[in-house]
Amino acid sequence: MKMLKPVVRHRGSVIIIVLWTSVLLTILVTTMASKVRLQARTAFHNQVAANDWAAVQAAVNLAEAELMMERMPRPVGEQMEITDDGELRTPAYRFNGQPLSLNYPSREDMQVRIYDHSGKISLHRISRRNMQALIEHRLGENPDPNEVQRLLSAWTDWTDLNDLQGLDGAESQYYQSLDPGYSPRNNLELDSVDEILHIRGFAELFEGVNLDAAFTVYGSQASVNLNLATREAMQLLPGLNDELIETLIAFRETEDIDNRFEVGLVIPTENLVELSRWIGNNTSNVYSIFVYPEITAQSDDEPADEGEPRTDPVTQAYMKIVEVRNINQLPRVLQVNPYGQLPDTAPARVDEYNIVLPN
Amino acid sequence: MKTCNGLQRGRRVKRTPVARGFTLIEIILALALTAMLLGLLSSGVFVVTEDWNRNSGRLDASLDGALAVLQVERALVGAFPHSYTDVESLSRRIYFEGEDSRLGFVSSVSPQRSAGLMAWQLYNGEDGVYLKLAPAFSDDPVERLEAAEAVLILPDYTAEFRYLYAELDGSKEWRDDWQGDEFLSLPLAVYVNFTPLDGFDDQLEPLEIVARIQANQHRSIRPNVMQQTSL
Repeated sequence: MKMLKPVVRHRGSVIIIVLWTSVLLTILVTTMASKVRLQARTAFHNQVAANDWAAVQAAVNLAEAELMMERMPRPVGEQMEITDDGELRTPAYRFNGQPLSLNYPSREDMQVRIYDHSGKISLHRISRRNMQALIEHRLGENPDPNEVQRLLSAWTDWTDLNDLQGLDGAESQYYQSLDPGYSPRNNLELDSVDEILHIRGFAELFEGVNLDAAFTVYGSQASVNLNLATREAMQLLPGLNDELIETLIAFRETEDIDNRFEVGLVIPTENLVELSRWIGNNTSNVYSIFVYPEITAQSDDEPADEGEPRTDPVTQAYMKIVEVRNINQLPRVLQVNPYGQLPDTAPARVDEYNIVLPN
Repeated sequence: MKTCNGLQRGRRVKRTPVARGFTLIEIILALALTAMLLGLLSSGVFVVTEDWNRNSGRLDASLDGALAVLQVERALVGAFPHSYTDVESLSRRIYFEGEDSRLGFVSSVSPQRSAGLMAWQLYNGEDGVYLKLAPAFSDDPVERLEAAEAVLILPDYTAEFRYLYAELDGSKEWRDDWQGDEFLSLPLAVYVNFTPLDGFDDQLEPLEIVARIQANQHRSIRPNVMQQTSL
């Protein structure tokens, strides 16, 4: 029995050596594997990003084709959408930001939304009177008349053609004193809607507003078409409140709003008096196209309720503003923003509304 | 071992001289083999670790580089014909300053996601490609860009710029400069070639951008076609 002890010691040392070798080999293999995995993941995500970018560009081109086809005569025998009352729905009103199924379909998971700019407030066509009403509406109940006048004067000085400061206004002398200093536009033709943030007091006035969704600097339309209006634009219009806006959005999902009488079915008369000078039935030839890959996965934390319309979680998308001229020319591109901010795309936030249509 | 039967015990008794121990040669051989194996393993681990450090460093650098290049490409895609009034002539101009080693333009893309149009300026420094950013506001952003803080976005690279324009007959050509205030429009596309500085050729890969500028004309300012074609 005494002879057995050294044999046991030898076997133990061999096991220890084998174990250490295994550990070292495992570390070696794990390190190499993780390196390979990281590189593979990087390559995979690059490929996905490149594919999505190509699909977005393709969908934008198809959306442009859709807008050009809208200018063509409608095909004979085309199945038109009809309301419950048997009225034909205006196809151009589908460019109100709803998810679109294009005539030439894009990749299945690509979401396309088009916004007609007649659904926004035109900064080029807004009258001084309307700007004053908008400022007052924005300042809330009982606005300070001096503050209204101060903002209105700043707007006038920014958009007039001279550098002469009006009463309570602001011209170069004021803007150059800021850090960093800059010059006022001194032209009614603004380059972009975000430019109004540089006007004295307007950044505070429109704080938290998605300006691109509410305003436009393109097109010749002076009024806002309620069939196409964005939620952001309607929130700025005097005479409308959140409840009326949601009812309007719910109403236009099933019916066109063709005249002031039909607006009056939704909007009380006292509100309509204020709203009337802002609205019209025109459409424009300028559109914002938004394209983005759809997110289909539902969050596990917030399961969607039965029957509740799904709210699109995407808020940023590839955006292109185009002017459609005719069917022989490609639309003219006015602005491209790869990281454009989507307007509020949520469906109407009312369960039901009670509007009786006259026979 | 105490439970061994008689047969096993008999065998062990038989092998007793063999199990007594190792000879010196066996021990030396075993130690030599173990040392060799450990040496091989440790050198393997060392090589892999070195490789990992080098590769992860390169990967990080290439990811940073790829991100910078992607941002510049997206900014060029979102280039905007920003107009301003020239103080001296009171004429309306378009801001775009393109040279072969420097580029200034206005884009709807802002790295800080701030509202409004952003003026970008890319230029070559001694140790790489630098970027300056300033709000475009409603006037000429040159002075603000000059005062802005420069950020080194691509170390050890140098950038070269080319600008695509179309002749009246439709043929297209790459130019090495583009002055927006004269042409009153933007080029159809911009080509950027980032090449490693001398001494970094073996470590860095050349990078390229070809960005199409779709919004190349202002909506109301007509391009100065005569100026473009005469050049």
